Amino acid sequence: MSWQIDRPLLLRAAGLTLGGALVGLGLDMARPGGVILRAFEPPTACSVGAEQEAPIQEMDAHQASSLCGHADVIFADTRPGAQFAAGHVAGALHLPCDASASGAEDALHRLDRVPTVVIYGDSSDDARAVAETLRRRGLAGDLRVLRGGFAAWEQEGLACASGPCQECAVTGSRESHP
Amino acid sequence: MTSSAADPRPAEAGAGGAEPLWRTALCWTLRLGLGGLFVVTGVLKLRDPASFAIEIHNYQLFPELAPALAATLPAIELVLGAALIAARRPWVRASALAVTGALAVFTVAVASVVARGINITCGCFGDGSGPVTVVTVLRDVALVAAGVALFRLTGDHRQSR
Repeated sequence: MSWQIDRPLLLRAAGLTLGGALVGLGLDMARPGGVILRAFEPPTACSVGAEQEAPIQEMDAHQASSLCGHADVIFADTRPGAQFAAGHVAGALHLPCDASASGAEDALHRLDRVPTVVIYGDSSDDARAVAETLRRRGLAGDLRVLRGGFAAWEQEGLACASGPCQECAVTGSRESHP
Repeated sequence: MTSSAADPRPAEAGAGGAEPLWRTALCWTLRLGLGGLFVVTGVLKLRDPASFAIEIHNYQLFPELAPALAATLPAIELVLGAALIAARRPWVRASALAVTGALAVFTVAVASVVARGINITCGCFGDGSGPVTVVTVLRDVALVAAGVALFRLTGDHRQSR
């Protein structure tokens, strides 16, 4: 039985692997969503050890508005549908506030792809409750709460949109609120 | 260019004599199966490297390497898979060696996750990956066996240098 591995074979195997790695590095550097040049923000907790969670930070309306338009940031509105339709942070996702609803699983899956989620509601407290629920359910990214809720955003005259959510896969007909 | 230089087929009809049909068929089955699998998984992982980095990080083995692995592994899988399917025989054998090595590393990783009782998704197929379980380990062991078989099948005396 001949298991001797010859040098050309090893060189070819190494060449294929290194070639693939170089292609991967090149592609990663060329794309905006790459993970090498962009600072990788590791999850602070995975499915186990969730007690070691990153704190949920509060930020005021101006700090939050500076994140608007970033591809790796999403705003999530926890208020009832009628309030969301009347006005919300431009581009915000409408979350079902009942975290036990099946829709929350879809929301979690969607939000899990976004490094930073800014959550707001009527007040800081209700947004924080939703943020903590999402964290417990495994959302590992950077969660932030808009201090003062949507009222603070409106008071500052920051960018708003109104009407029903156009691409809201997670908003069901039910609009429960904690 | 001679036909042997461009022909990705195993040397079943090479100068050293005819290779048995079963051996040719098995070789091609393994090449297409493993190669296709690696191409598909590479493409799936390439679509969302950030999520893949998080999944690698969740293995808690070498978390600091997660971004580098997330950037390079999908392309490595693509290259190795394409080589298995379409390269000349010496390169197929080299690719089989590299694929088997990669699969062995994956097997050790998922086995360590199961042993430590960590509940994470595998990340093997991008977003559609299921949780890491004993079944995942057994599947990877089977794939390692397939890689070893392909390596041996492509290593007969007619191997060109």
